[in-house]
This record gives sequence, structure tokens and C-alpha cells, in this order.
Amino acid sequence: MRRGGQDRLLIKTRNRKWEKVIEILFLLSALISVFSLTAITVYLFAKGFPAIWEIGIMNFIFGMEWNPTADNPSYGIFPMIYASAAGTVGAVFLSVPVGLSAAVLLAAVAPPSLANFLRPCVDLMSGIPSVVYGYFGLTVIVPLISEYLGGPGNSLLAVIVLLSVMILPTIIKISENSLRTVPVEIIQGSYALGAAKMETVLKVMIPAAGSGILSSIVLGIGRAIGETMAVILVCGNAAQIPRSVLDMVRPMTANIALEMSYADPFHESVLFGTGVVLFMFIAAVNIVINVLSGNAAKFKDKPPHYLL
Amino acid sequence: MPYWRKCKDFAVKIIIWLFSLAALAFLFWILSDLIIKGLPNITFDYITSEYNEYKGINGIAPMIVTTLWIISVTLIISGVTGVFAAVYLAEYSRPGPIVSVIRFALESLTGIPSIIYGLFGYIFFKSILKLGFSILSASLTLAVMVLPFVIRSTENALRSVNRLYRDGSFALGATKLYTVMNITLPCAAPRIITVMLLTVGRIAGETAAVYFTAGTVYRYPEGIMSSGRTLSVHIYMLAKETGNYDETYAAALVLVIFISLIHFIVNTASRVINAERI
Repeated sequence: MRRGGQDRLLIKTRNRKWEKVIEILFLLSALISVFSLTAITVYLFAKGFPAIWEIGIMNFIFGMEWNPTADNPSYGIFPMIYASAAGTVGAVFLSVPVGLSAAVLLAAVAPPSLANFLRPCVDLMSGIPSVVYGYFGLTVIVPLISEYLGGPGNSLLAVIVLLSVMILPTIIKISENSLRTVPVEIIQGSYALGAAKMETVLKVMIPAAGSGILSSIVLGIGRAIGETMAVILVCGNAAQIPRSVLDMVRPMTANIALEMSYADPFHESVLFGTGVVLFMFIAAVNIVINVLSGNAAKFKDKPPHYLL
Repeated sequence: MPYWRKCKDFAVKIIIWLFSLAALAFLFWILSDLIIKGLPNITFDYITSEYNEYKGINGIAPMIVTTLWIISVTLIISGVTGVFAAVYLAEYSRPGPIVSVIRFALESLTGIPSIIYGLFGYIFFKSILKLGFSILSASLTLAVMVLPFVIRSTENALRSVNRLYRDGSFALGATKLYTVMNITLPCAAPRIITVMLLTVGRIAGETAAVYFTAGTVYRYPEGIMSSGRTLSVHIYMLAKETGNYDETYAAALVLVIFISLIHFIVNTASRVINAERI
């Protein structure tokens, strides 16, 4: 029965027209991604930009006051841009040493059986939903901060700690991959010159995998800026410039998600405007990644000694 | 090797182990916290009953149903278009401007955070296409969001099929479409299924995009057009609006168990698949 069906398909597919139609269907499916990207960009700007224009670009981006429900409302998002940036920078500082160590451990130090156990752990870490990280932060990390360091607990520090854990899998996985693709010749060359294992790791493997490690960090930055649900539960939501890491903050993503449910039409457009600014940051991150991977492609054709 | 160099080497090794252990410890801290506080509260009643603050019923059954609805609809949409697109990229495309534009779009979509997808779904699917807060709006939004992942992984799966099979099929006079349908796709099927499973995990864990498109109503959904609250949105609402730790921890643990199960299956399956190849 099945065989007969296949034969019929064989005869049918000899028909050139039919082949062409299906090929076009495949192409259209592939083009959906292009349509989506265009639609996302167009609709986000169409909805957000008029509001930014009405407020004034400078007043919007560098304004210090956020008070959309007052009689004389003010819409300045600088404190939120600052909070997003501070949270991201802090998370990267915490996460890079740990992530890079774990990547080196998986790629070169740990015995294969241990590495095979640890890799699924990294996957699980990236699989835990952000809202669960957020709830863990709210019930465990926030009280710890408030008890031992003082302050309300809901703070920039809590944001940084959570974000650093959440971007860890990204940094570990991509760095490990690029450490693994370092040509074995230059590693053996390093040993042949009498270098010890860790000297080889630090002075040969990490520099050779440099562009891959850098793009893992930049990808981590992208994840940290865009993270919403974990951050919203621990940040405290006060739109202010924090004086210390123990002060409450409100990153851009939290601003959008918090106020969307009760916003009037203009307020809603302003929130989309916040999305536009966030989108610009992500676009910048994407450009950096493209440049980095372009550099990595250039290295591939060079002889290994070029990397040293 | 001089003594101090050996010491330095050892010190670096210790630092690497310590940092890695710290990361691992954090993972186990989260998991054990979830299990200790969540497991005692997961009962049969909790999983099978409704949620109603006023009647004092606090089950999660409607949320589980909504989550499953959204997972299935998203998987159908993104699975079909994703596999088609991957077949185009792996089998039909020639290097040129069209392919570079598609790849640029895929790379850019990968980097966009879920809240932006949520905003897009809110204005495009909910308002402009007038789908309202519904399972369909959420599924379409999520489908756009997971599409880059589905396409990239499926393309890798298709490319990993042994060239000889394909060449053999062509040599026997089969057309390209016949080869794709009968040789390449069946050979890549196990890998494509693991891709779909990982996608299920991502959909189940997503909150921000669903929150903006499916709404927060905690009834049983009646169909594809009714709004609903997924498990992850439920965790957020509980965390934000009530102080009931037990319930929230139980919901979080149910979600994490579901996702870990998927990861476990995928890991085992890919080990089997890789072993078969050698």
C-alpha cells in the first residue's frame, strides 16, 4: 500500500510544475522570517515613535522624571536606561569570570565523563524559565540581601545577581564551543615548547578563541538587557537613579511590562517608545555580534601561526 | 619545570574548579529550594482542580490546559513553516542576496528579547488582526519567536544526513522533492523531533510574550480564540499579587519538572542518535 503511494508521488513529482510550486512554498516559508523582522520593526516604530516625537527625543531619553499618571505628566526614561545598563554591566562582570572558567573546565580540564554530566546541567540552567529565577530571587535572594546588607532587598544588586546567573549558560556554551575549535596543532605546539597545561589554556587557547568568547559575552549582554520577568520581581520598580547597588531600580523592560495593563492610549504609545529604545540597544548588540563573527570567519583561512 | 611555575599552574586550576563549582552550586541551590518548598504542596487535588480566589480553590488545571493548548498550536505553526524554511535553506538555496537577507533576518530575530515579541503580538495579532487576547494570538507570537531556533536546528539536522544517501537517490532518477520527502527528511527525523521537544520547553517557560497576548484569565479555555493564563504567567501573577508561597512554589516546581523531563529525554535521545551514527 505504502509503496504504491510512494510510486505515485514519484510519478507526480516528475512533473516540473509541481516541483517548482513546492520550491516556491519552501522559499515563502523561509521569507516569513524576513517579513516578521520587517513587521516587528515597522509596527514598533509606528506605534512608539510618534509619542517620543511629541515628548521630544531629548526630553524622553534624558528626562529624569517618570510620572505618567500625574495631572501634568512627565515621561523621562533616563533612570530606566541607567538601570538597564547598570544591571547588565554588573551581571557581565560577575558572569564572565565564572562562565569562562566553566567553559575552560568543560573544554580542557574536566575528565570527559564529568564533562558529559555537567553539560546537561548547563542546558537545564538555560531551560529554567525566567519567571522561576525571578521567584527564587524574590523569596530567597531579596531577603538575604535585606538581612545581611541592609536596604529593602529589592535592589540593583538582586537584579545583578539574577541576571549574572541567567546569562551564564550563554557564555559557557558558546565559549566552550569556540575553545573546542582551536586547532589542535597550536595546542600541541604550545606543549612542545614546554608550556604547562594552564599556561597553554591562558596564553594560547583563550586568545585563539577570543572572538568566539567575545561574541558569547555580547550575546549575554543582549539577553541581560532584554530580560523581563526575572528582573521585574526583584528590582523594586522605583524609577530613580540608584545611589548604591542596594537602591531600588526599574529597568526599561520592567517599565513596559508593569504599566501596560492600565495604560491609556498615549501612555501605551510611550511604553512602546520605551520598547523602541530597548530595540535600538539590541540592534547595536546585533551589529557588534555580526562584526565579531565576520572577524572569526577571516581567521579561518589563515594558517594557525597567525593566531599566535 | 621550575617550582613556582608548577604552583602557578596549580593555582589557576584551583580557581577554575572553584568558579565552576560556584555556578553548579547555584543551580543546585535553586533546584533544592524548589523541591523542598514545592514538593509537599503538589497534590492530586492541586493539579486537577480549578483556580478561584473567591471560592478558595487554588488548583492549576486550567493553566496546564492553556499551556498545552498554546504549546500544540505554536508547535504546529512553527513546525510546518520552520521545517519548510529549513528544507529551502539546506536543499534548495544557492548563495546569493536572498539567502543573505534570510540569514540576516534569522540572526536578528534570535537576538530580540521576548518582551519585544510581546509588544509586537499585542499590537499586530491582538489589535490589528483583531484576534484579541487569545490562544491564537499568543501562539502566532510565540511561533515567530521560536522560528529562528527551529529553522537553524532543523537545517543542521538536514545537513547532517549522509550525502551518499542523497546522491544515491538522485542517481536512481529521483527528483529533488522526492529525495527530500523520502530520503532526507526521514533520515533527519529523529533530530528534528528533538528540536521540536526543545521548542516545547522554550514555549512552556515563556512568560513576557504570552502575558501580552493571551491575557491572564484563569478559566478553562474553550477553544483557540479564548484567552487563558499559562502556567508561567500564573506563577508571575501569584508572585506579584498574592503572598501565597506554597502555591507559587508548587506551580514553579511543576513547570521545572516538565522542562527538566524534556531536557532529559532530549539528552538521552541525542546520545542514542549520535551512537547510531558511529
